Amino acid sequence: MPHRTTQLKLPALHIIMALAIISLTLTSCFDFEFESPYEDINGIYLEHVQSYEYGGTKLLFSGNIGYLVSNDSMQIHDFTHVDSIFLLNVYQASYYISDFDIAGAYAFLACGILGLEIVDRNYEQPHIVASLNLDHARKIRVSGEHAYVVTGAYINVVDIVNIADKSNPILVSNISFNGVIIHMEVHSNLLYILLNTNEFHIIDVTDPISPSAVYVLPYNDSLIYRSFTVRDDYIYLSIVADIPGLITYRMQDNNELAITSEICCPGVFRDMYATTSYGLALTGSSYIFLLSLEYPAAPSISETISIDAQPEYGIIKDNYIYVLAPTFTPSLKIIEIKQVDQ
Amino acid sequence: MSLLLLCVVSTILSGDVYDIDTKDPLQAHVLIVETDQIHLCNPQGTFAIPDLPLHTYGLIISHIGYKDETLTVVIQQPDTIKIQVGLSSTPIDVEQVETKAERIVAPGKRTFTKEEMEVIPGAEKDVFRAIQMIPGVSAASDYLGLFYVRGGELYENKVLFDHVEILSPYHYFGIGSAFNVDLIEDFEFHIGTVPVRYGDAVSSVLLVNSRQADTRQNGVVSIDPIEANFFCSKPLTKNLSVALSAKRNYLDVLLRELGIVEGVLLPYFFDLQAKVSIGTKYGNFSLNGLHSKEGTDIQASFAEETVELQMNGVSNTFWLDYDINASEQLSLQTYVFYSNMDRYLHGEVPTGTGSSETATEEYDVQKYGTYLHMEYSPGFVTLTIGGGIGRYELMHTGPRIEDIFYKIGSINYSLEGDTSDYYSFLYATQRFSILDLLNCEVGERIDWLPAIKDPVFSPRIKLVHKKRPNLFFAYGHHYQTPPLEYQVQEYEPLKAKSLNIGVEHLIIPGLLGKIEYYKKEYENLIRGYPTDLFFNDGTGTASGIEFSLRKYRVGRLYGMISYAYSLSKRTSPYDSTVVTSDVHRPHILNAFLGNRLPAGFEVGIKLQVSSGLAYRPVIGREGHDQWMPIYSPTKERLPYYQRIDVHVEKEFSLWGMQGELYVTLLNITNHKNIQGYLYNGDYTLRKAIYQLPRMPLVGIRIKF
Repeated sequence: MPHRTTQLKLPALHIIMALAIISLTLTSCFDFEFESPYEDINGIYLEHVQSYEYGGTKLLFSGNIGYLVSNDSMQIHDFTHVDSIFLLNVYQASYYISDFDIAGAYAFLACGILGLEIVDRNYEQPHIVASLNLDHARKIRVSGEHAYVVTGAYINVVDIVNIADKSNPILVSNISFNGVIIHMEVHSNLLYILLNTNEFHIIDVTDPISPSAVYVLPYNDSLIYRSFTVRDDYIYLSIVADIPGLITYRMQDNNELAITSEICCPGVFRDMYATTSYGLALTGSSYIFLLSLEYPAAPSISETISIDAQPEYGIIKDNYIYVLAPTFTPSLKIIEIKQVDQ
Repeated sequence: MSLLLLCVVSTILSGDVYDIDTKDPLQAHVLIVETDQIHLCNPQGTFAIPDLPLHTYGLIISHIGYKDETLTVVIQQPDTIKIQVGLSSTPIDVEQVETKAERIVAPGKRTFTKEEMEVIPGAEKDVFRAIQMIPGVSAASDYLGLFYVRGGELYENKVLFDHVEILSPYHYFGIGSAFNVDLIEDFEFHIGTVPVRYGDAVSSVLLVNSRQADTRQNGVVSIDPIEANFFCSKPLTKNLSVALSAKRNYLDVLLRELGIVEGVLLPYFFDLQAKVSIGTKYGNFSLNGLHSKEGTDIQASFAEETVELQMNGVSNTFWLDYDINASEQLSLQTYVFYSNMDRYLHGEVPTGTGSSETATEEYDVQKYGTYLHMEYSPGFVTLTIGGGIGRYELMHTGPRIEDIFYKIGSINYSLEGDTSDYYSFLYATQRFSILDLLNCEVGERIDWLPAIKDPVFSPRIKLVHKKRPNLFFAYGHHYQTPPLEYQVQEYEPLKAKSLNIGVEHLIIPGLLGKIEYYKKEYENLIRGYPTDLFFNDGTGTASGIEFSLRKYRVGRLYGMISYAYSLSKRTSPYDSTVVTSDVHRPHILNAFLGNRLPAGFEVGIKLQVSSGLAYRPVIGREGHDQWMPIYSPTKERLPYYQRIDVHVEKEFSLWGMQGELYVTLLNITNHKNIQGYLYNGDYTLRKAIYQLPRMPLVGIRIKF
């Protein structure tokens, strides 16, 4: 049963409740918000920040020192500040440099008909240390104590060179293929080879003297492999079928490749480069594509930018993308990966 | 005794009786001692006694719970006398009565009456929103009444009205329900191990019971910013009564005219429901019909791009049910029903390259059948036997429109289907006691599901300890046909095995506490899209523990508090891994408190706090001619959900009719609960879509 209340309290209660309800109701009417402002999905964007008239076909970094190959010279630049890159020194090779790699304190140059040149890449006084005659050295990758060089008149051989003694490189073995090698990578004792015959080979080079075939991607006449890049256990293979695409493979414990992702692409990725977080893809057009490798099994196109050039080579270092467009002036373009102010 | 000498004679004696403390009117009895006549005051506490001869009368005014008041009235000449009588309350001495009656404990069954449903803040008198207070039940959104039970999918719940399946109980993903609350008596919600009478559902069964035939004419008219509602019930003869209800929402017009929402025309829906009840010496018949119609034209713009969605739908359900109590021990119920649903959807979404992609979905379903339910209780045991047969027909064309908004794969896939088949079922249950310790219910259900060659068997058992606290155990198998649009290819029925263990205790009369642990294992779940091929070889598990304390609506104070912790995993639609299900919320806290105050006020407050829903954010894109989203392989969780609603209502009298004026304030803290994200055409930008903001609703109900 209700407690006895005085006659005065009830009207006051009614008034208080009514005022509270009215005030809350009125304030409610002016506070409708169904949507928030837009926000960037990944919180980053690309901005072209700098250009330099540095010609070249390939750029590699060791810390803040960048090594840029152009024709028969290897230019050594200081990249500490992207706004003020300057030349430190130049190494003049004996012949046109088709490709190069750096490892330790040395640069390894593929110098065409003259073979391999090993160069001490000290920026104060770069100088040749040794050379090795090889049959038309065209591409080179260094891993551990061996260099893997694409050679041969038909560009179908990989020479494996022991470079433990930099002053005395020794050819230890070679692998021949039935097709032109259009791309090569070496990671974790595995040699990855893409041929113009639409074949993709994985070879175990744990014992460089006796390399063994691990896997060959089955031939597929409905699509064409164009290029690839490797990051840890994942292989990102650019293909052309009805439309361009990117297939992601993962090496299984039984040395089989399993597809983890297939995506469509705006164009054919002719050149790709992968870091821990990002991938870079060039199509030969003015568009540059930044891929997100946050989930390496499921890459996606994160950002795109169009520049006033058609880059043919690119690399990512820290938060910068460096691309080279040899047929344009200036030819070195720097794009910064910036954070969006949310 | 008091002597009232008025010396003003009268032939009409009238007056008002009220509580002397609260001034509330009392429907008291007025006894005229000399004539031995008893007159009853009306609900306003007023009485009028005409044509009293000239005399001295003794009056005794009485009301239960109050001290009697005696008066002497002297009438010396014809006139009108009006008196005011205040009664003082007095406690009622009640002897302790020892009862041997058992409280029936039904594991997995929750009930809410219509009155309870009406006063839950934020429920808006919608049965689908009211059940969200039940532990283990959650909603995908404030806007939608779609409910998910213990991490299960929406289509795994069955909705019955008077034991007849309603094909389309929701309007547009649950913005409103098709049921008029004034035509509802109560609802039962069966969760966990469901009685064998109900099948074809692996998560829950919601049974809405219509109100019984009224013995006097009455009706309700109500209106609020969302919908207008009409109900009328009239007994035509002693054994024949009719009830009619109609409602229509108009939020679409209101928000657009007020400029609160731009570019969006919310759906409208209209429901018409009728019931004819006939009582005969052979039993009670009722003929029922539910007609629902809906339509919408949505245009949403963002980042200079526009999304369009048009929907139209009509559904009808008719049924005849016949109840007969053949004897004290035997009762029979028979149902014959027909239902159909037509739906048309058309969507247009931007591709991010300046063009738009369109898709159209059409849906036509018919279902009809009959079934019989018999209950026999000779005394020591209760036997239930039932069975039924029916047929459904489905025509479906086009993709699932909701998929084009998520651009899952290519939108060019479609489910083209034209299928029909029969279904039937049998069930039997036996309830008995074991050693005066346990109540036991053992049942078996056999289903011949559409397009399945072999029958499926669903055994179910429940054990309840008779003495307080009531420990209970339940275990059962449940089967379900996949949603009709998936039945265009061969499939296996969904299957769930459920185990429920708990304790329920009536702490004091009206206060019930409950703790329950459950575990479910699912097989043959639907998975696999975006191609035109669906698999139903998915698996899943759900387990959790739920606490609840409920004060029933007797007395002034009532309410409920519950907490549920659960874990639900299902096979991912993208691969064969088992991941957290999309509609799962690990933590759900619900609480509401209501109080019936003096002077006809009733207030309530409701709190809901829960984990956010899991979702896959867009991590990037792919595409050649148009951009398509790429979703994260792992799920993230939206920020936690929180909402506090307040409800105040006041009874009043107007021209002899009772009424209620109410104000509900939704989300009074204006917490921005994120519904999900909307992406622009090239998937570089997204914006959060919020659920209901702080929002007032004012309404009025007039009962006549």
